[in-house]
Amino acid sequence: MEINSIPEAFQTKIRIAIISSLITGGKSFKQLKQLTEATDGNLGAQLIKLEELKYINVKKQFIGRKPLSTYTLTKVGLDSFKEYVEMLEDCINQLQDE
Amino acid sequence: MNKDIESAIEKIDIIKEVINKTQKDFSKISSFFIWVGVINLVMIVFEHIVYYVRDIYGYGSGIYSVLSTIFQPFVLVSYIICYLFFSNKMKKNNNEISLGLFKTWGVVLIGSKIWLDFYMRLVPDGINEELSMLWRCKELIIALPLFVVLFMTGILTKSRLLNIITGFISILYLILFTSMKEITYGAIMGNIGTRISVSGLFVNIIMSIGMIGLSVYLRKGVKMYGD
Repeated sequence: MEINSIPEAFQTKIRIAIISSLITGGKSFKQLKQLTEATDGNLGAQLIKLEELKYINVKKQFIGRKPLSTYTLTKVGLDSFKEYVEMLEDCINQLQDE
Repeated sequence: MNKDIESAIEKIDIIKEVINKTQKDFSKISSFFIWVGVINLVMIVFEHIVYYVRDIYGYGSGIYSVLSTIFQPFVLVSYIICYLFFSNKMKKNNNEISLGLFKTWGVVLIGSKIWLDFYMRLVPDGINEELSMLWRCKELIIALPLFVVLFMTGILTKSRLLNIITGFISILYLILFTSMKEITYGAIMGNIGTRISVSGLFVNIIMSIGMIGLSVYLRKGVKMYGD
């Protein structure tokens, strides 16, 4: 992965934050909101985008009468995230070499 | 500095910050503590039933024999089942602090029960001052590792409150242990029950109600219910 060809999923800070928080397991909307410090509207829009890109899965259920959406990272999302972090590391290593 | 490098550093900082925040999520391990507390509460109820049956039907009765045989390994087997059940969940959670805590608690809970069983087999039968002192010291096998692991939990979760409470209860335990006071235990519906040390009862309370309290404390702020 080249820094000039960053996938759409990693082009905004909030999407990076969402994917990073899902690395440690599934999270509810509320937990993601706390972790990313995003607004409901922005977070919802970014989650839809990541779902469309097949980076995340959503499981919707009811706990009592309250809805609970649990978001998890897909294999595509995890592999791309690993590749992206490696690319960032390479980029920084290059600076150290120079 | 190259703009790409600046952007890369900034993005790595975001990733680190978010992952660090997720490490503070102790909701998975808090469920484990609830079960530890419930196991010990069930053990207390079970123990009372065993004493009741003993007092009603006598030492030689079949029902007492069966219940006391089941009772001995009850907590150990329950801890092992509970540990295995949560083991997979904790690994999936990828939370290093929670996983470290879980393993430490597992070793302490299961290990101290095995040591206790081994110790009780070593202590000879009989009634004299030395033997009763040895019997009294058996509760230290549970209590001392419990306080150490509680302090560890406080340090790893960076909870000053937990460390203060642990410090307070460990001092209280020491006072109760050295006071050598005993109370009647397991006496329900007018039966005799038995005499146990106040410090032993204190350990039972920490292992049951205390564990449920610890679970609620760790879960605070990470409620999963609702969007």
